Amino acid sequence: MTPHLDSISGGGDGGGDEGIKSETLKAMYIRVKRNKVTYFVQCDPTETTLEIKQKLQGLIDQTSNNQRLTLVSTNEVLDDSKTLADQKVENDAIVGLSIRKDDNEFEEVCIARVEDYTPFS
Amino acid sequence: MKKEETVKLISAEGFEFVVSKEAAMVSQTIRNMLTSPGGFAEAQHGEVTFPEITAPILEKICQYFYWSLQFASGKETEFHIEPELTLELMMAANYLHT
Repeated sequence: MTPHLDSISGGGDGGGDEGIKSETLKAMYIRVKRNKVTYFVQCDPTETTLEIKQKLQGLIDQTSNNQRLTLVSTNEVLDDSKTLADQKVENDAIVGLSIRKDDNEFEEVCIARVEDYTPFS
Repeated sequence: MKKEETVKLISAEGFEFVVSKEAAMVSQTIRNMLTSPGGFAEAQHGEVTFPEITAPILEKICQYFYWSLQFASGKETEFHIEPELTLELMMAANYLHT
């Protein structure tokens, strides 16, 4: 009976929101993994490794120089000053996170596997 | 990224997936948990545990959230699902209203 009301209350279901959210929407995301935790980080191919570390800083309470990122598919350590595109880090890529230990060395990349934790065994 | 802008989704085995709230709210069930005025305990801690969803499925769901956001903004790619995941994934998607 009052179709004009629908357009006011009916929003919020995916499709119509892009106008508002386009600022936060990035071209891709990467999966940063350490042990049993995976961080989904939205980013652009033009961003540098350092910028990614700065984003992680807010989540893990470790400054960027205490973080090391390794592209899992090639086992290459990512360079702070280079962009993701330069280092062939693509959408949905898996990146291992290592934290600097007390003795100033970085820990090994360690990503837990599901098989070791399956509750149905 | 700030912690307040993210949610932690926890699988049956205790694997944790940290995603932005915007992405998680692709799921109507999670959106309700995070936005209902009564306040689920989940909303306050920014953590939701899914004792019935395994890690590979939950990870796939998180990938879907981001794919869905990309798709909504006009990037038309395919979303690949491994055949062995489909049944469990459908049950989880049904539960999450995704």
